[in-house]
Amino acid sequence: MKLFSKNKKHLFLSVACSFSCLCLSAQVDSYAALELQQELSFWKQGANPAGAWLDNPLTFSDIAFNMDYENGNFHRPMEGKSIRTIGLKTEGVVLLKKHYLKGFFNYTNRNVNEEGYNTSFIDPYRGMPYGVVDLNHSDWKNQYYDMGVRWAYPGLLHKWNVGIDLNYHAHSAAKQRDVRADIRYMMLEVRPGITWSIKENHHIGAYLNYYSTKEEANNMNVNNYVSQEYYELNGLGNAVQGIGTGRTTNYTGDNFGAGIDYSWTKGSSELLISSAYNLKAEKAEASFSLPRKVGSVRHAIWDNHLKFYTRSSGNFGHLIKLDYIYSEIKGVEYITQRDNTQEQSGWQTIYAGVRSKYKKQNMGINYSLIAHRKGEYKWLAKMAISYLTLADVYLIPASEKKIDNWVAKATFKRNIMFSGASTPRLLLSAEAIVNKNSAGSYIYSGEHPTYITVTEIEQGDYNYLESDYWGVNLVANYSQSIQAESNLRWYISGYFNYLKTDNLDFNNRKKMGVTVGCIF
Amino acid sequence: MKNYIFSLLALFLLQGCGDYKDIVEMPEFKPISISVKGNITLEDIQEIEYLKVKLDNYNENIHREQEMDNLETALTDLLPGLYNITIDGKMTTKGGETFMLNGTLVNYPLVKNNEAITLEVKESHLGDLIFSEIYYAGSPKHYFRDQFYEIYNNANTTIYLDGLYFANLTPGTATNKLPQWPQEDEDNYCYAERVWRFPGSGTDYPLKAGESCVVSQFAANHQLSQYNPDAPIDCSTAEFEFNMNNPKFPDQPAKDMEHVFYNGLGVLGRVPQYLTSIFGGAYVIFKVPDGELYDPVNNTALQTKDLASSKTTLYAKIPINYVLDAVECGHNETKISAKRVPGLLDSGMTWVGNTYNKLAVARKVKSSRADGTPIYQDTNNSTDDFERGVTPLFRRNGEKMPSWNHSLN
Repeated sequence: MKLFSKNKKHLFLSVACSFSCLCLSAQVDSYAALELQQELSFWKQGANPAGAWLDNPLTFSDIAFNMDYENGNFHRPMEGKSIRTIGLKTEGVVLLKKHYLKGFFNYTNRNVNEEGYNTSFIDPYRGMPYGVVDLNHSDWKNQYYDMGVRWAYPGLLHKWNVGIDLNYHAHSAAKQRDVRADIRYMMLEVRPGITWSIKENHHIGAYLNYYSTKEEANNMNVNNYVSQEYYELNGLGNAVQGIGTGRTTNYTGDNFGAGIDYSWTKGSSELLISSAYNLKAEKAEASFSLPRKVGSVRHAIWDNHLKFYTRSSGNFGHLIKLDYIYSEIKGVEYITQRDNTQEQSGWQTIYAGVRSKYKKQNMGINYSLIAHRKGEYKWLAKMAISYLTLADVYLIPASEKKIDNWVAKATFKRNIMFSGASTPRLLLSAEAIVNKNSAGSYIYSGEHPTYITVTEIEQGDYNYLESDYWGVNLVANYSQSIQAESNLRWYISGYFNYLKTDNLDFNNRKKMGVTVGCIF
Repeated sequence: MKNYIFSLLALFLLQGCGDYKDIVEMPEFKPISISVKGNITLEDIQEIEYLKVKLDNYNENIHREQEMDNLETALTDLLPGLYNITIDGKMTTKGGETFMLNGTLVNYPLVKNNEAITLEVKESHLGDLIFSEIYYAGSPKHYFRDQFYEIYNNANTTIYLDGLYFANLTPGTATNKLPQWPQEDEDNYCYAERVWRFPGSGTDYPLKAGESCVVSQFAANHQLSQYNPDAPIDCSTAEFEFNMNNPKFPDQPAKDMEHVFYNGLGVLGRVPQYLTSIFGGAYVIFKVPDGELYDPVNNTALQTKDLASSKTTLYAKIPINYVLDAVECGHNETKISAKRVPGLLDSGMTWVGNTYNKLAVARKVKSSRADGTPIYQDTNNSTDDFERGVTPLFRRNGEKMPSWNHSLN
């Protein structure tokens, strides 16, 4: 099924791409300046589109082409052994009188090598437990189109700002070995928002969020002489074994959500508190011709953030962020029976109920000390600590997977300024990360404990999640104007990321990449 | 046009909202309790030796068995699901005869708490002539000519094979899309794709107690280089074969089964092979009672189409009371929800888990005779009665070969 007719899709891509590159009069002096501006634009980082004008927005365009490569055996069971990525990213903001317009368009092409088990999802860890897995590790070819626009208009009745976000994502993936998978995913999101200025330095905002998702996974065998062994997952290792070609699964979901924000500014200090609640319902049905409900999820996310920035006398700024995210997925299973009477009314659901729960909480605190230099920064030091807890349970028969992890990060960035009319800059960044597991367990009490869904997929995932590890992330970014006084600034950056675990089941994961782009 | 668009949009939103509300407000899975009662209408009962109820949920691998007290019992802490419910028992009549009792509900949805279920319990005729081993999966490199069916005399008297029938039922491969049969048939028939008859004039092929015979798809030594050296079995000593007049797989010394019916006709059909599903078919052996005529080619009352299908394929009706033994095979335990054999004939299903894996199903031995020949288990439930995933072997438990086997002469 076509998710979007080809012509319309190309038209939409062209418009989004053109728009995101159509922004002139760049106001950023360096890559560090753009990064800092993004970091301190609290409303822009948030979900409320109406807050765009409260950030003193800059106009800019950023176009970048990136290539990345990662490999190493420290990864989750349904992730690739190695991944090659190329991508094009564009983003732009333009202010047309009182109209704030932002657009972005990203294209990513991923060649995944030896991804394990998964035959149903482009992202097997997206929070939908009802998929199909098989025994054949396979290469995947994935493509991602992500695009969106934000419009905001200020000063209605002097105190009201309004805005809206429209985002569209279209992804596709193809598994290269039997059981083959041809998967299409799309998401369409609408987010209208409003802010009200209580006083000049007090603002509150609210927004609604709706998105619709659809993922369609078609399984087939090219070699029809060999029937493949596959498993239909029910969560935490519980599965039903099948032989043949897998199945066609159609995932459709709707999310309704709302959020509120409050911001306060005084002098060079700013505070933003935001909270959002989203509730998504997504169902999985097998077959299009005669749909059979195989499962559904109720996914609630409560998202809370506090950001505070102040600039002390001198050139130092202090940025503090507090985050708390609570996510709970309830997995619903269906008992179905095919109606083989004269009416032939297809699959009948004769019972349904919540049979598994997946709870995740993430608390984090993050402090940055910023040494400013005009519109950019000279150096930046950041410390972050977060606590992640997972508590997944299968109700009957009872099974559980629990993880408690502490993560600490320390980052130092140095923005070196060279002399020259083209204002060259070298931005160096070094980050150290330590992950410490404080508790965890995986106890499976269901049937067929020797299935790979238990012994390799869930146990392997638990082994990954409970691993202590350390890592470093090194980034170098060189940028300069194309010529003196030019608004066009090009940059090239490279990074190397290395994670090393003490867990004897794994070794390490390395990721590296290079990005070439320009800001104007 | 505009109205249509708005109507469709409204329908889409209502549908979407309905699903959303259902999912968001879904309660938790809760165990249930039920009671099961056996209803025996047989007369002349002197004593019921025992009566037990068995619940099987193959998707969840739940199996419960409980003695019944005064024809009734209660079961608690059951997971909602589709169950096969079976009552098994043994009774003695006032005349001193002993009968097995059986009542079965196949794929019954147990989802209501405190539901009272009543099963009709009837006397059950356990087969004297039974399938003792079935090899249908084939061997590597997509070789399937080595399929065979071993049939055993489990009784204490000689049984003549002459004129008995063999058939594979439809659908050939287990599927949840079951055919629709004529209502007037009620539950009195099973439906065959192809029917074969054992040759002989009445006493040519005696099978003594403890003897077995093998019917092969192609009774050759499959391990020869021109066939499949990787095949697990040499079928050249099989007593019978399904000869389809294929020059590539020529007639072997084994006796040919007589072709009776395929798609309304007595001729073999265009495809020169008799392949039953490598995923596992459903097979019956049956005997037409003396004085009755079974001619599904000329007697159109013994033919039917699948009323749910637009295809014109004709299937042969086999009265259930003709059936001596039936075994249903499928991909794996999950296909029990796709059963095509009535529960009275086989309330379970057996499997080998994959195709071309050189594995067979073989009946479990219950005890043995003084001469060492086995007495096989036959509870009308092939899930319980068969070992799954065994290497194919003729006469694995000391069964005897009939004296008329061609390899002995």
